[in-house]
Amino acid sequence: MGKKLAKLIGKEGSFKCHYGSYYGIYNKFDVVIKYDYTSLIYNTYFSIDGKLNVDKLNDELQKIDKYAIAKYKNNNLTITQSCDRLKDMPELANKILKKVTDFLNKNNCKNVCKNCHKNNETSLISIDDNIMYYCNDCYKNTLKKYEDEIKKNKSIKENIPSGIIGAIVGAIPGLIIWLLLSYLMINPSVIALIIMFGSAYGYKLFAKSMKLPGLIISLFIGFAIVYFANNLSNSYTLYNEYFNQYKINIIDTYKALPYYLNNSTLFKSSYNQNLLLSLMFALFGGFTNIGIYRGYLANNKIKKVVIK
Amino acid sequence: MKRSSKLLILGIICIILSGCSLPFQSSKYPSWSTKGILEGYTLSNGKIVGGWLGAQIGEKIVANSYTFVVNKIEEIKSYNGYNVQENKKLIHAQIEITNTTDKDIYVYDNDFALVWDLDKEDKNYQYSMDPFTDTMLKNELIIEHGQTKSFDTVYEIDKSIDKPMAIYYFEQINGQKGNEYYIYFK
Repeated sequence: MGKKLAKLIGKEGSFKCHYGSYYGIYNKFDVVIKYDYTSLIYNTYFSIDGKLNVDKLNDELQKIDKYAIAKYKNNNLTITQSCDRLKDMPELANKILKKVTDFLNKNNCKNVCKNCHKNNETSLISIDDNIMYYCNDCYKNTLKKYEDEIKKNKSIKENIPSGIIGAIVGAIPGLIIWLLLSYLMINPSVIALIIMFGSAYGYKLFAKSMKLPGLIISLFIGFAIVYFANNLSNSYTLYNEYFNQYKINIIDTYKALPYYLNNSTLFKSSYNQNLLLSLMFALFGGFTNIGIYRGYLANNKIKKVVIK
Repeated sequence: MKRSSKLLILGIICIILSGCSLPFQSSKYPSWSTKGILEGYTLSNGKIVGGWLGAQIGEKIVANSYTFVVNKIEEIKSYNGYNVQENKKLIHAQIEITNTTDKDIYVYDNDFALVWDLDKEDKNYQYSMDPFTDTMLKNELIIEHGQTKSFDTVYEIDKSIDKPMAIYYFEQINGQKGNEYYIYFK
């Protein structure tokens, strides 16, 4: 579907589709078109340099599509249009592309590199899976900077014992908020996000780096503390239920959790629901750990791309 | 050391660490002390009956006819020359009782049984062994008005029976159902 639609944009074969976005050159301007299925609008992006009267451009656009809006900021021109069906998009886009590029040429606007905003020859490059038009100089500079960062990251030695302490220390603020919400009788499951976030940044801060062992350790510690926190809040629930009848404190109810899990269906159901919800939030929070780890990955994430 | 071995060791350490979040937890009956008699009802004379009470070793229990304390419960190998049989174990309790009524009261040899399976409706139990010393609980032991007496109870039970257990006393008031008392051994 995407490839077929790409053929309909611009001159035959000048646009290519890559993961739902369309890339191509129209009247010497680099163009990126992205369609959003949720809002049913699509944006057309240009990188240009020159004196552009965006109000005048909007007036021109109104003549062909009253819902088209142009915005211009920091050399980036964005045209937003609504389009109920993706298959109608090429026809609308072609009209807009012609109108906009004619207007840009008429106003002596030049196509520029998205990074340095200079009128150099550009090519498509992928930076961490984001595809954009960069000039050759910017590509080389970005690549060098990235390679230097990789070297620097490789040279940093990961201090695992400190990292373990860091992950535990980092998760403590989340644990405190968790207990506070439990005390206020508010479901604290969402705080699992903060616990995971804290364990990830705590590990990174103390270990000075996060490689694969760090990722595993910080995830384990994060999940273990979420599990521990869920046990504590359920102990508090038990304590509230029984402290009038028994001479107990929260440590007693914490110790007795397995007994109540084995013997009370109602308690087990509530415990499991809270645990499942907490672990789901923790899973989302775990993306923080993965994000930090990816920052230390020694993979070349910058490359020139050819979209077929 | 190979990288994969290092990761395996780290993984094991992490699992152990996550296990630290479960210190001292137990699926056994909690054996908590109660704040007074639970599940009882009050008679017109103000006495609470039909309920139960949980207490710890050394805790003074005020029953309707007397007060008593289980001073000690322990597992022993032999008692006054009696050696435990094979695949059995001996549990020894030392109980002190004070008559708080204005008349003599009796304690029987089937009082103060040792019970286990505390979380079950039908709990298992064992009475104290027949007395073979003066210090052991004997049938129809008389405790006079205001008098305090100490005695031992010794139970021989299967070796596989584990804690928590309890010394159990079922109180009767003038032949009517009273309260149940559990003194936990955990």
